[in-house]
Amino acid sequence: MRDKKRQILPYSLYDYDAYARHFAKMARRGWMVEGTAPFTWAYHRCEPRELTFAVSYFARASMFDTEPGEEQSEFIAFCRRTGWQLAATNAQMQVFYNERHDPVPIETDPALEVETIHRAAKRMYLPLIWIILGLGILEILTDRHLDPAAFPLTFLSHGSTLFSLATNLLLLVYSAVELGAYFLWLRRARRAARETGTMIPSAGHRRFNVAVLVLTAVLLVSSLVTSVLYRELLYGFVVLLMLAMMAVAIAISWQVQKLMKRRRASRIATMLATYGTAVALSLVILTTVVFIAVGSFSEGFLRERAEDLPLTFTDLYEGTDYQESVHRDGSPLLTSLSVVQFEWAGDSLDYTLYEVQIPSLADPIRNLILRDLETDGTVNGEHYLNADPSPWHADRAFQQDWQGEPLSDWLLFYPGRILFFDLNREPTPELMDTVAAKLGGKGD
Amino acid sequence: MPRAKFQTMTEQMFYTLLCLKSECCGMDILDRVPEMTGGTVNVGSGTLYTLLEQFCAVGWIRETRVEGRRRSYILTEAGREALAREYRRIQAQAEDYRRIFGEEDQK
Repeated sequence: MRDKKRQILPYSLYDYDAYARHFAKMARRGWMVEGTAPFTWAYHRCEPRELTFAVSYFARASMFDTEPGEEQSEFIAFCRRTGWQLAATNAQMQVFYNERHDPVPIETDPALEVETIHRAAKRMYLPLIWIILGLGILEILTDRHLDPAAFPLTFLSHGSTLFSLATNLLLLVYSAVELGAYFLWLRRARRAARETGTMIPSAGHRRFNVAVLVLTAVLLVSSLVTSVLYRELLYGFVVLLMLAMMAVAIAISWQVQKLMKRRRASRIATMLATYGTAVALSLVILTTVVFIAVGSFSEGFLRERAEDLPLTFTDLYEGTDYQESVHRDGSPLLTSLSVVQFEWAGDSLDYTLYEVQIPSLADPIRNLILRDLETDGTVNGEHYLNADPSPWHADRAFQQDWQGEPLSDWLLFYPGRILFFDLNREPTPELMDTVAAKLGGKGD
Repeated sequence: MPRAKFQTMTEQMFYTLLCLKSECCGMDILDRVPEMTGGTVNVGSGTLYTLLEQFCAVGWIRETRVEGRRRSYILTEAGREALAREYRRIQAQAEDYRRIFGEEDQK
């Protein structure tokens, strides 16, 4: 039979009522809260008991304290005097239980209680949420795939971009809701304390927090599945590697923190050792991930194979001694395949084929690109001229030009497909038929 | 409009200061206030801790002794004046009541 247990509690820091109710319920079931571990609360088995729990806040406490400081000890001694025993702490948060029936609450002045919570929140909780919000905004603003010029093709065909955007948006919404709800609660609590002398119930948003946790897990799993399905193997590999190593880094940092506390190190020393370990391990992780990923790629482990390409150099030319570069991207909405195959100082084949994965999206995507072509004649920063699509068996055809001079780059629209094709020579009717059959889906 | 700090005292503030007429440690106040008021006023341990901290900060009480985790405090002259002010405020309220309802209604 297990004697220890851990739980993730999806409550906001200031949701003291939810914490107290939950710990009381756990005690009734024979589990006494005893402390925290990364992202979780820890319990040990106890006799099932009916206890009253209360969560109080001590602004000067720190998660790096080996033991409560002088002032905190005095606070705990005050609480003990009225029957409140300290069960667990989580930085500024202090969890007490009381065996007495209907004990005097730890906080009996609502106005002071609100300010005590706010002082504690300003120490760590609020700065952390502001940082998450800032990082979310920064990530979105600096994501090169969100450049309007890359929309819709590059953007929609990168599963990794879509998922990182979704994750950043989720972080943004989470932090905005967390901050909004906190300051709304603070305003209401201050007003109630001032006008009616009462403390309003803590107003968490537990369902929202659970939804964020579930959505994060779903996004993570989906991004990994997508990376395999759409062959963004390097991305999936890096995500998995990062996750595994981050878990190791957090576990090691936690152990360092525990070791420092066992050695009764000062708060500053424990903090420096914990953060120092975390930063050093993050650098090691980053270097290792890059090293392994680049190594795997160069050794061909993650490299695309040319066997299943729809059109290859040998389909068009005699030579077989060519260099190649193949790159696939994809999302559940759009996939892309970029192929470059060329002989030194000889023939070359260069194309990028986008395939729409959801038929109903085919027209909107095509119309977006056509709108750009019809307004300023450009796609992805290149200028195109209208061309006759019939030799290509395409719906629409455009030829790239440079100051009015036609180039050998073509933009062809087939049903559900968009093809950027560069031949480096004048296309022959046979070649156009081959392209339409192999890349335009006209061969069936 | 927010109430200025300590402009009017809560019962808990009043009785905490009252306890500190003579030197007293924080933990003893937790027992003395309900004793003094027949159990009608209780000061929570967290509330008392914050009050003592804030009273020290505004100079209404001062720390006299530290013995382990027991800190003792005593009312200062400024604290005494604040208590007297509060007493006069409560007294004025009682006078107003008496003027409106008369002496016989006091029984």
